[in-house]
Amino acid sequence: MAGGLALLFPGHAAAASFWQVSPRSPEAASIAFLFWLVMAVAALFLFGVLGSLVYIVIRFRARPGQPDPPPNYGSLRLEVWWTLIPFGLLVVVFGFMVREMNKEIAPRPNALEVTVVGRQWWWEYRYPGGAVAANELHIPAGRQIRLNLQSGDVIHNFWVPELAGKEQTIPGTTNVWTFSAERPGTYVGACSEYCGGQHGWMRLSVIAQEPPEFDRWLAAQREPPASGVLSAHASALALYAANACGGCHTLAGVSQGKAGPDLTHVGGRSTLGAGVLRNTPENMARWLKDPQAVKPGALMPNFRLSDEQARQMAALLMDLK
Amino acid sequence: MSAVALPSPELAWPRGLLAWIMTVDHKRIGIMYIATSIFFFAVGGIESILMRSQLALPQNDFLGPQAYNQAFTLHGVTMIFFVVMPWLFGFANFLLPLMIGARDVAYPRLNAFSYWVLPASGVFLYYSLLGGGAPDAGWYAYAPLTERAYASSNGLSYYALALILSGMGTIATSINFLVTVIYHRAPGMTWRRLPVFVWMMVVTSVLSIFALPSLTGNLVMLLIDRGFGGHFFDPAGGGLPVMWQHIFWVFGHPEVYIMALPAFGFISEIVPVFSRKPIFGYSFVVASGVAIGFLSFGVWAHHMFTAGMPPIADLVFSASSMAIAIPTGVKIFTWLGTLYGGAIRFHAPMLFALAFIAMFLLGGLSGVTLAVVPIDWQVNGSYYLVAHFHYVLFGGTAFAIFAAFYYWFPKMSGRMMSERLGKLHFWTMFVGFNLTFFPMHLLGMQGMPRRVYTYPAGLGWEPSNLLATAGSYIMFFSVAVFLMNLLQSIRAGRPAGDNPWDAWTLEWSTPSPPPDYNFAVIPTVTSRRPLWDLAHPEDPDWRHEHEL
Amino acid sequence: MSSSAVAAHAAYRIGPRKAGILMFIASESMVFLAVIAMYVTGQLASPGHPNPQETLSAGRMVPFSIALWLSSGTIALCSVRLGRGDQRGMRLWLGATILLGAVFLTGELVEWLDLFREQITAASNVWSSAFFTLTGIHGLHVVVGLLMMLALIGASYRVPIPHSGESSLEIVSLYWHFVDAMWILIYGVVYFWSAFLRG
Repeated sequence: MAGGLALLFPGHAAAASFWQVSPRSPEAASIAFLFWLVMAVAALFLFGVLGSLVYIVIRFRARPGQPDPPPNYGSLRLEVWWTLIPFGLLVVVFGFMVREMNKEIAPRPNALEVTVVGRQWWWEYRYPGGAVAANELHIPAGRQIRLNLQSGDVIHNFWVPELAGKEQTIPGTTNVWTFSAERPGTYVGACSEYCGGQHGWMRLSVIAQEPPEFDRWLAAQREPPASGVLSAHASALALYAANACGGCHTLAGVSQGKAGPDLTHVGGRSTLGAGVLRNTPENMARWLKDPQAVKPGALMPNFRLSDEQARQMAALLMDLK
Repeated sequence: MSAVALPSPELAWPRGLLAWIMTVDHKRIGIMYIATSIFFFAVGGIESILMRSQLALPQNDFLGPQAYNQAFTLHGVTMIFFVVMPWLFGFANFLLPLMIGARDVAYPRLNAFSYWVLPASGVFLYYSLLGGGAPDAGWYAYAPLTERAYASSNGLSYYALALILSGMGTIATSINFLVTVIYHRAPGMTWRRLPVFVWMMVVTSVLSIFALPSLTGNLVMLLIDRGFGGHFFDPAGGGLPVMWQHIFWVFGHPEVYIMALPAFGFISEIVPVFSRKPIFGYSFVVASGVAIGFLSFGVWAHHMFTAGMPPIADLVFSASSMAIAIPTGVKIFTWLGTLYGGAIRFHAPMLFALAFIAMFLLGGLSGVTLAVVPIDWQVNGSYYLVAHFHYVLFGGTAFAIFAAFYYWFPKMSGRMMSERLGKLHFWTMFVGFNLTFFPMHLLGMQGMPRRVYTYPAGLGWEPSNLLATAGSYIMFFSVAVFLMNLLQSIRAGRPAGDNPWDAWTLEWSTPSPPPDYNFAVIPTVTSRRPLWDLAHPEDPDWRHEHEL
Repeated sequence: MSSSAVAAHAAYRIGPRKAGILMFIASESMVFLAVIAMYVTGQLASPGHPNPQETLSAGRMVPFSIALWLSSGTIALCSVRLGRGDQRGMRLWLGATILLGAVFLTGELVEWLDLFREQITAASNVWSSAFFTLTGIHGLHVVVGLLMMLALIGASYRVPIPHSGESSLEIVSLYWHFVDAMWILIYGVVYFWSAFLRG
């Protein structure tokens, strides 16, 4: 829900999007500090050199008929100084960098481990205890999160600017990435390593919640659909079986599939297709009717459902909260 | 003191188009390289206009993902391998023998072969559009996205074969240049008297010889994966995708210095002439170029800070990447030192050279920020990176190329380019370029990833994208102005004479354009500024050059 | 070029043609190094099946390798013969070099056929991809060298090969020594290290 708010109120999202100005985690704050430090040094050089350039170009512009000025072949003293000063500044920057990096690497107790699997073109999250979610990463605020970054196909890159830098998900290996969110909120991110056709729509969000709220959410994620929900959508379930949705999707108590997102609680997500649509009954039906029209190249084929079939299926899925 | 005069034989040489096709003359080959580059520059420019048009608005439907992804891939491959490199090597081909007092390069037929490899590989690459689809995995094509399982069209196979072929031409040319400079210098042209541009081409050639083959090896392995079911980069068979990155960037980083060092060479020739003073600190300029060459092989993994390398690797490559900033900075200070106390003339070559200094500085500084590992963790893979490399490669190298173009066009053609159109070209390109690429720093800082065919509304990315697109249209106009200037000047430019800029290096002692044999009499050289010595026998340069 | 430049060349120990082939060798080395890097990291990361410890025999390749390395000696003898003005002797030693190179290639071929017989191809796993690519690229370089030597023998009948550091024989010799030296590296990494030491 918080994710939906962020999308409904773009101004809020835009204002919060400069991580250098408003980092939302110790990791992002540490990087923001380094960023401003290095920017200061760079600005010093930029304005110093540009200012000199402008001054020189004005002061020493050729007057009409001016003869060639006396040559100046160089100055050893100047060469030494303008090598040593940048060197010294860079050593200082390097020192600060090492200090900040040591801070970030230090592990903290009581971290929550989540396995993130990047897939073309969505994000799978596997929590301890068996809960599986997609695209929206719920976390408890204030606690360190350890992500085990994996890939189901090609190289992706998990990035939430307000909370941390990014790290690649590489098939065949696991990269570990840690961060924490200081306070509850919704933080948007995206895949940032080109991963094929729909890399542009492989967005994600991190939803940080107060720990009790997160615990409730996690517990609910572990549960199969509430009794009565499935029985209320018998015709949709029949469609589900007829179209072999379970070949790709997991729906607790109904099917086990690996290729697509887990649908057990899909109704509770705020977007579809990793950010391409907001999650509403109309959009869900639109996606079901023709995923290729919404996200061309997505690996979900067009099942040629009728409008009525899509509506029925959407009603089922929206009830899977 | 004397040199032997060679007669000019009357050859029954073909005329017209056939003469160009059959030529082994370094000057004509150089011009063909440059013409080919200009053609591909237009192609790559159209690709960028298409991309920017799509990104002008959020969730635009001007280009779908397939078209966009092929566009950005072709744009990168074209600009690097079929525009910048051949344009630089084309100038080098024309200038190197003239600058060292030779009649041609060491292996003229190999030179011709190396040229023809270029349009062949370019046609081969673009044939992919007809052959099932252009490559669409980006110019550095990270595995395993490039395996058949994920990239089923033949586009990437065209990409790999085209680059293996063009790489051969680059390596052959580099060997040719090195042998030419080592063995064919005129009497008195010692290493310490070589023009800075020649030194930069020496370092560039060494880099090419060691860097391009790394790409070749990588591409061969990719082709074996794609064509023979190999598993180099396929984890299912024990392959290692991260090794593609390592082996690629061992090529890729020296590659960007291959694209930068000749540009530094151009600026180091032009700034002194238009300041009316010799270059400040010649030995340091040369030494810093050599240092950059060495260091460039030790920084490659700064492209991989987000790949999960062990922290010690991050630190080592960060240190080396910061270190390489130092000799680069020395060069910038050197150019300032040359300008200081000069009599600065603002003809078109100098305008482009001055803008180069400013924009390469900005791009270089954003590069230093990227060398700081945690900052890279934030801005890698985002538009900040796109801004950085366009500042160094366009604001830097491309502006240097235009400076060189206005400077040496008179020598190549015998005619001056229009100064009026040149200034229009400069200002529109300068404004358009900065309007396009400066906002991209902000976009990256706001979280916009690169290589996205569209983006959501409501994240605050719209203004910068719109500005960037407007800037790109202005750039397109500026290139049109340049092309108009070029065509007009070829036909009806003012006759240039031997030395319109009153410069001092050997190429300016020949007629414009130089005859086939370059020099009627191979000159004997006494300093870094041979023509100064001839004009000022009372105070020749060689009296002062031992100072630095 | 001017006669003073020509005279200057004679003073160089490494002339332009030698320098050219040395630069070419430097660039080719990088191609090999890229594949060797892939071979080594592939081995260290995931031995798997098939693997060199079970599949390759370091000992069996020794005689063929020795043939190749001996051929560096025979091609050096060509220069010695040229120093005595003996074109015919040079041709004979070139022929011996070609023969030894062919022996090596035969051994390589037998190795490959054995692997094919066991259903091991470049498509088996990362080790086999790297093995076939590395030995294949090297084998191609050997073939090119043998062809150049054949051409050299043919050319020497029309124009005698001079005894000079810049002669075609010198250029081909340098290339051939490079091919042999690369085999030291490849044998060392593939047979000695990955098959024998790790077996």
